[in-house]
Amino acid sequence: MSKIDIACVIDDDPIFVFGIKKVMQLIDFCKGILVFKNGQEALNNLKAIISAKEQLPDVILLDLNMPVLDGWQFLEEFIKIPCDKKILIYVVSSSVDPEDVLRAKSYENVSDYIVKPISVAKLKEVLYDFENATS
Amino acid sequence: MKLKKVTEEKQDAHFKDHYLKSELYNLVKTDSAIFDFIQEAALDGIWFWDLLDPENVWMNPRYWTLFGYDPEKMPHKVDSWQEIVFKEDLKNVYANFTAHAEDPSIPYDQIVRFRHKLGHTIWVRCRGVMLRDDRGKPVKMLGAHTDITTIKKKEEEIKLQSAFFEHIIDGTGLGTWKWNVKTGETILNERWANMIGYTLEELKPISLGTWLEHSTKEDQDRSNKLLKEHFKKRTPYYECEFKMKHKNGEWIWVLDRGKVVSWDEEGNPEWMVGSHQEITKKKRDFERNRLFIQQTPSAIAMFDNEMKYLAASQKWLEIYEICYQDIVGKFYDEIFSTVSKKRKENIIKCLRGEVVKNYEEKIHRKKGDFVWLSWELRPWYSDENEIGGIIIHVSDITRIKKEEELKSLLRVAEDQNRRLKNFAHIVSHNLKSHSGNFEMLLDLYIQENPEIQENEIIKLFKTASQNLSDTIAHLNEVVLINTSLDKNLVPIQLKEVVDEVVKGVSAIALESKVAIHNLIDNDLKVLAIPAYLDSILLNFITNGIKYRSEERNSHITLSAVQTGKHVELSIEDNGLGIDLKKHRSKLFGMYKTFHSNIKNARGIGLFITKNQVEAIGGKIEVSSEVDKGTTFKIYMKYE
Repeated sequence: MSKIDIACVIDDDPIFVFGIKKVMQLIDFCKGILVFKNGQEALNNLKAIISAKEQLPDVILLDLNMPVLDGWQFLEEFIKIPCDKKILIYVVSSSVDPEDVLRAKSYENVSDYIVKPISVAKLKEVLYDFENATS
Repeated sequence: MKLKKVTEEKQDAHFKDHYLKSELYNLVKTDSAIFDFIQEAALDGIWFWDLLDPENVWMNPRYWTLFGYDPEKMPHKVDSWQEIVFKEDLKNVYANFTAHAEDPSIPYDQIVRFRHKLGHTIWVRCRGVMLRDDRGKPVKMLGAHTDITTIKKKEEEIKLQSAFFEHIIDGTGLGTWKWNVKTGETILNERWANMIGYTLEELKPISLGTWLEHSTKEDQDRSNKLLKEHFKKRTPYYECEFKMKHKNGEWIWVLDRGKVVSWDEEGNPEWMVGSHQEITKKKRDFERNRLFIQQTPSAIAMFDNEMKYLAASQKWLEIYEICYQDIVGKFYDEIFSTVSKKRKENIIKCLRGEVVKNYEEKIHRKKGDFVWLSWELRPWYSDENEIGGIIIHVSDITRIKKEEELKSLLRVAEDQNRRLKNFAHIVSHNLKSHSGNFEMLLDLYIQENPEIQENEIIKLFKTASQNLSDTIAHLNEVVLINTSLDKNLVPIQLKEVVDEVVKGVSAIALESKVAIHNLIDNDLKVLAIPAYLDSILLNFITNGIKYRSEERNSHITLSAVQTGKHVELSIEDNGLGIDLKKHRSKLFGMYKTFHSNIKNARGIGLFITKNQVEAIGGKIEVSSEVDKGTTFKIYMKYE
């Protein structure tokens, strides 16, 4: 059993970000949180971390609908980056469109599709998944 | 010498007693002036011929002046007249002379042509009588000339004229008739007889009956009416078209025309002359045209130049809602009570040879509906290249117009659909994330401040937030139902799916004491989208449980039969039932509930279900009785 060191939240909605941080604190989800306002910002920073050989996040919670670079575009770019570390990616969106769900699941890097709103129960599941994946 | 003629003897006897005659005869004998007067005034020449000495012949002066010669200069010799007589006639003269010489009862009387000094012909009636001796031998001959040139010329003229007319009549192929209205005497020409396949000889004796025998009773009646009109001088001539029976058994069409040419003192018609013209071909052509027009699949009507109906197609009658009897012999404006001024102008234009077109015109009909018409006026030409009338061609373009309307509706629908998709997107992404935030924040707030959980306002706040999320979820579900194409449908074993769904609700069913029976055949398959079919079944079954009656043992029975192109799935319960009289129209509406005492009735289930059923190409029927139960029938496509 290992705890999540760093969780990364990519979402442009400050209320959601505020909420998820609270939930994470409540359940002691992780040690550190990285927050990016859109796909582009996330990509730039993650690339920088990789090249600086700093610590990458263990889990990414990715929104789909974002300005500049949206969730899909981020995914397309991110999976191209060679990276040794196994990162669990969750798509977290309010969309219940089956097309979105199917598309998200078509990426093997995407672990699951979480429909907003996020709740304690849902994040606990993520945590549980992570513990199973790394144990 | 005794002058004597056989015929005159009788007359002598007849007039013997008249004193004036005896006196005149005596005067002639005694006074040569009297004889001179007679021969100059009454005759155009006298001659006296010595048959015993035939060189000598005496002619009076008038004899020569008739031919333009001076009597003084002309010798009293036979040669002198023989030179100016027509050679062809001379033969005849000799023959008659010989005959008369041999038999006094044969009169010497002929027409002889003489050449006038100026070259023209003088026609002379030449009569003569021979004077015979006691033994009957001719010794002298007395002759008299009468100038008949004027009469002859007239005769020639008449001959020429009648030859001319005959020629013309021959050329036109007209049969001719003359009919004495008073006596019934009838004269026909050869062509009249030939027209119906006979020679004139074969038809003899000719009478009015000759026509009657070869025509029909109704044509005769019609003809009689027209004749009477003409006899009363109401029509300048008589004209009638009728059928006549040909020798070969067929009927031919004849145009009969005639005119009274002489009237008696009382003004009654006497002689009437006329002609028969065969118009079978024209009639047949016309009949063919009429048939052609009648059977044309488009709307056509043919009019003569007075806009009287000649023919109209079935389609024409249909469009204008008239029957054939209405139009026979009627005028265009008799049928259409309101003919616009514009239309009248167009008709006049067309009768002058113009083609007039109109593209769209809306006609209101008796039933209250309307048709869109486009029409065209076109002149038609008779044989003589004259405008015989108008053909009006009308097309029913209602369908095209409706298609246009439909297309524009479709465009509107497409726009709507696009907007709906945008709306779905907004609901899915924006509204939902906002409501999600609400829910999340409220949860966090309660978690951080557990003491407010019992606060009434917070409770209501939570319900409101939950309701908002639910509503948005439903809305999303509804707009996401796509009407699927057939290719998206997959064959599904109905019984299996029902079993699955029933298994899913078995806990609630058990709790609610509702028995669920699945009577569907094992191998019955329907074409559907699996998720939709699940949702549909779940909805009906949970509805059945939800609206059960507490007063009896509840059950839900599912059965299915194959009917025509569909599988008819019946879901029957013995629950509360729905008052369809009140609620049928809004049964499948959004947010409609019909049972105030049932909790969790959101009024969304049937709405979504109906949409899903329609999306897979099916339909729903419902029958229900309050407090007896409800049966839903779902028709789905089957493989």
